[in-house]
Amino acid sequence: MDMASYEETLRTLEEMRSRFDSGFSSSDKEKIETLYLQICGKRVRNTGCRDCYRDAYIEIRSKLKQLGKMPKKPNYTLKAGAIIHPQGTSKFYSLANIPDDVAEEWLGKYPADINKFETYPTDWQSRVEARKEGRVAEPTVDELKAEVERLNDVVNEKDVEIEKLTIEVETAKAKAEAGAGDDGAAAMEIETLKADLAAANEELEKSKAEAQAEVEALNKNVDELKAEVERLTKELEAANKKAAKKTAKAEE
Amino acid sequence: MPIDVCDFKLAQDIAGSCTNPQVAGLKNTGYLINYDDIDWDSLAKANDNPNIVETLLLLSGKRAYKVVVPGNTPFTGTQAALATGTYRNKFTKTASIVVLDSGPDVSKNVIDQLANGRFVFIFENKYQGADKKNTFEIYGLEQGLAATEMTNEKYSEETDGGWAVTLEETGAPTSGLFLFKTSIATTRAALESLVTGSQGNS
Repeated sequence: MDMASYEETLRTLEEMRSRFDSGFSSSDKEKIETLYLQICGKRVRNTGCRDCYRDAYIEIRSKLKQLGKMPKKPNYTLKAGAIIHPQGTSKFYSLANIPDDVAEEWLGKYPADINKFETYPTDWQSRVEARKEGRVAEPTVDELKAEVERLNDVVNEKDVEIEKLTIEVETAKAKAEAGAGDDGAAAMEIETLKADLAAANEELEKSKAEAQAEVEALNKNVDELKAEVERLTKELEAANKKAAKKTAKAEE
Repeated sequence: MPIDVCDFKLAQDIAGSCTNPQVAGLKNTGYLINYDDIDWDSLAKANDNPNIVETLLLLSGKRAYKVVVPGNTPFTGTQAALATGTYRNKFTKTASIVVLDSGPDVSKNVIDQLANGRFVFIFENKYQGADKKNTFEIYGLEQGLAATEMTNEKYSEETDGGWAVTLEETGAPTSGLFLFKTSIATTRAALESLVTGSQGNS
């Protein structure tokens, strides 16, 4: 069940809108069920009634508009039926609503409960240790990759915007040339658009450079983490070999 | 290693509560789970009472399904009864469900599946007991429930023309299994989570 992009999801919802009054089709209902679970974390209440899907449709749209992006996939998710209820609180955590700090504090106390989790970071043990020692856990490689992807998307979006503005200027210029001499309005429009474009270009270049710098920093972070993983793997292998030698010696 | 010999002896006085007397019947909502969707490796029972299931989880992407039967006597016919055996007596547990719809979706998604699959049924007793541990009882957790009778009598007043389904678990060694984790609120939250189900590992 891959999560579609924000724009793609909004397009799908927009396309369904025409059937909002007349009644959703079976495939619409399937999509609504999937999106409702992904975005709102709930199941459509009664699959036999029409209003339930309308309500779910409205809730999905409102939630998406409110977030302005697709909800982030959490690091930790619990299996269906598992409940985490930290002592001294009135809070219950289930499925995808468990924050990292709660999950890591819980696993610090009850590491065997990892079997109640459906998804968790591969380095959950070191994250739990870091949490115990009061250190903030490093972002996971997946998180860093996601951030790099997000920033790349921003850069791409900005490129598209530049392209659009350039086309607009070209069109206006062509129009002005065609009707030159009529009045100064077209020329004025061109000048305004040119000024707008220059300002937008400046702004875009700036944010592009910032995003690029961030991407580079994150890439560096990813590389460092990878190197750390390799180093630890080597250490582990060496320790394993040592242990195997010892065992062999003891057996002799 | 010593041999584990079962010692069947009474361990409690038999008397009903005067302040909190037993009440017959079930609430209107039950929960059906496909037997194979259960994460059996993480199933856990209470240390002091193996008839209490504390952890019942589902495999990735799976969910429980609500069964709502309206009326004053929902799930009539649901019962457990002794079945004598050669070496050990066991129990036959019967869950009776009415499906108030017989359309194509129900036929495909519910009836055809109930007819051939194995299931676990969790229902809510009206009588919660003093510590609420009686509330949610489970049938089918040992052997699985399978359909033994299914009828769709078009003029039936009992089912309003819907389906009457009888699911049966035979050879269950335990007379009663109950779902309870810490408190009734936690147990209800766990049930809600079972019904929502997880999104899977994607």
